[in-house]
Amino acid sequence: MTIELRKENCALIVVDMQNGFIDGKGSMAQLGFDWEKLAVASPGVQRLVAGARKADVSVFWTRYVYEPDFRDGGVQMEEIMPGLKEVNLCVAGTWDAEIHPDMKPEDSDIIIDKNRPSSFYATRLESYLRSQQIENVVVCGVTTNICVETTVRDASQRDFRTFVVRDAVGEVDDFRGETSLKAMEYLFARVMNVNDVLDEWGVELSNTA
Amino acid sequence: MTMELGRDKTALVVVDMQNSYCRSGGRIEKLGFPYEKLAAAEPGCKRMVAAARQADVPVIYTQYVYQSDFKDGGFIVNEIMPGLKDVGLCELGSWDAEIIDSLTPEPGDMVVQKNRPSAFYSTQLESVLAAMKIRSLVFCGVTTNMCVETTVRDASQRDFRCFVVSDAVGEVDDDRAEVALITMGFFFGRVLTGDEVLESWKVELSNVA
Repeated sequence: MTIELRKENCALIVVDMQNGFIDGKGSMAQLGFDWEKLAVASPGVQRLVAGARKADVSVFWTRYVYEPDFRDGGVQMEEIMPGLKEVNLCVAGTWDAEIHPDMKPEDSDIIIDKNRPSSFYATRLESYLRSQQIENVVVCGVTTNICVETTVRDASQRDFRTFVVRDAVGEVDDFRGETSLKAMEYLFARVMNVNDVLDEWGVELSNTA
Repeated sequence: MTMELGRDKTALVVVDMQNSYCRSGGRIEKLGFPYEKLAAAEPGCKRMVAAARQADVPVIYTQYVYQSDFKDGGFIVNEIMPGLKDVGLCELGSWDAEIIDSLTPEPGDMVVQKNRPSAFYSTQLESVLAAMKIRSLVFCGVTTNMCVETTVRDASQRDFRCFVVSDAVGEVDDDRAEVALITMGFFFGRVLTGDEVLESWKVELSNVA
């Protein structure tokens, strides 16, 4: 039994496609992570966004954003990965925190700032989705195993029908990336390709790449 | 710098050690999963509970429970894994939903019932932890990649210091089990052994098996 995706009551959630993650000068690259494995998500994300525009699917962008002194960093910043603080990951108002210029959000899109992996925890996302009677969410962006997966787990257990797009996500570690998709498929989401999403939304893109 | 575990403001969380997951005749076995890999967490969990009692660390149990007609099943039960409904996983009041007899909670232990993977979503857990001024949580139970990990992700981003006991958890799939521990250690907490927990709590157990 396939979990069917429809364009009605559907939103696209683009997770953390920021300079800090997908640019070679960003803070993830500075920490020594293979940023190119995150940047691979970019063409797929752009096609999904173009498809969503055509299908009248609302587009939500999340941004990881911290206060300049990381007073909102909590246990994850202080005790688990303090390196993120040293490279000033995604500090409010900096280039690092900006959505990458290839992404091109539009004015009518909703931007959700967050300071934790889940796009649902302590943000306005859920109330926006409920207000618009969104029942289906398509999730893409970075990183697969951390912010995408935490968001997908939260969406699914809040009973949004949840879809993850395997060629529009990226993770610095291959084993974590692949197994993350397996875990999401196991209990939280249907895993699809960009082409499946466009087909099921009933849109064709001429040449958007 | 390592995140240190102590006894102060610390609780032990025993996740979903129920007949369904850990016993022959349980619904997980009926679904064709190797329940033995989940039952493997039992000795470790017993040891952690005995240690917590000796260290005066409160013990909290979680219990996966569905209404008998699964009206609270939602997306996960209805669309992702309908088999759970077919076999009647963890139905309210059933033997399947009971915590295994070797880990029966004592009077005064808190039992958190939940119908989603996270023990934080739509439960009383967070308010109880806040009232008790708990800041650190030690996790054991099943399954590593599903309910343990979803709960740890939620606990960590709520700024609880999370410790996962590698030899007191269980998962049906080896790759997912391995990545779950890597992921939790990467960004959500610290993974340690039962021996390390005993050392941190300064307790010695004679013969608990």
